[in-house]
Amino acid sequence: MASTKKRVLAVDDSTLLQRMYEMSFKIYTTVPVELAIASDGQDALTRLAEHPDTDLVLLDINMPGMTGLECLERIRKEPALKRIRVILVSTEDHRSDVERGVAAGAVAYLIKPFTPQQLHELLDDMLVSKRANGR
Amino acid sequence: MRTTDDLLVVFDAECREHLAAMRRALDTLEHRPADWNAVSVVVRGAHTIAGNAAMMALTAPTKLARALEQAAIRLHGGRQAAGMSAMALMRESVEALDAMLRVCVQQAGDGVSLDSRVERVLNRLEGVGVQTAAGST
Repeated sequence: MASTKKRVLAVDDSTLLQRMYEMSFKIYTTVPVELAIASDGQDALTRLAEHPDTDLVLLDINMPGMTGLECLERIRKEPALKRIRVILVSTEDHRSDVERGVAAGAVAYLIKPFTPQQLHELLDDMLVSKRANGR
Repeated sequence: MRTTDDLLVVFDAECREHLAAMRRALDTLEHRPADWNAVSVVVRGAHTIAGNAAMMALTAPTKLARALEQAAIRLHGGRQAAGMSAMALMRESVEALDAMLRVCVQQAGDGVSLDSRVERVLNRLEGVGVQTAAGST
C-alpha cells in the first residue's frame, strides 16, 4: 500500500521543544511526514487556515496569548478544521487542563517530559493505525 | 551534528532569556508589588524553564523552577502582592536556578543535586502565596 505524506503541525512557544519536534520527526520513519511548527495559538490557526488538510496537531496547553485550550475550541468550531486530530501536550501539573481538553475534543494527550520513542508510538497510533482511519 | 550539544545551546539560550525577563519582572515588583503582568512574567519564565529542564532530564532545576512557578501562580491567582520576604525568596530562587542551569550546561547533563540551601528555598517557596488566618505570606 502506498503511503501518502501526512501533515503535522506542532505548536509550542518553547524554542527547545520546537527543535526537539524537528529532531524527533527527522528520525520518524513509519510514514512520511511534513512537519510545520507554530509558536502560539494564533500562529497555529493561521497555518491551519492555509493547510486545512493537516492530519494532526500537537498542541501545547500553556502558551502566552491564546492558550492551547482556546486554540482547540477554535479548531473544533471551524467546519474546515473539525476533522483534524489534536493531541494536547502539557506537564503533569496541568493534568486537569488536559482532561478538560480531551473532553473538548482532543483525541489524546502527551505529558512532558516525553521521549522521542513515546512521541513516535503516539504518531503510529494516530497516523497509521486502524484507529487513525476510523474517524 | 551532535544532537545533545545543539539542544543544550538552544536550552541555555532560552533559559538565559527567561531568567533575564524574570529578573526585570522582580525589579518591577519591588516598585509595584501588585503589578500582575510582572507576576505573569515570573510564572511564564519559570514554567518554560521547568518544562524545558524536564525535557532535558535535569531533575533539580525542574523541581526548583516548578516550585517557583507554583508560588508565582498562587500570588497571581490570589491577587496577593508579594511581600518583602516573598520577593527576596523569588530572587534567591532565580539566582539558584541560574547557578544550577550553568552547571548542567557546562557538564552537559544532570550534574547537580539539590543542596541544603536550595532545599530550604524550596520549602519556603511552598509557603509563598498561601493564605493563612493571619494573612498571606
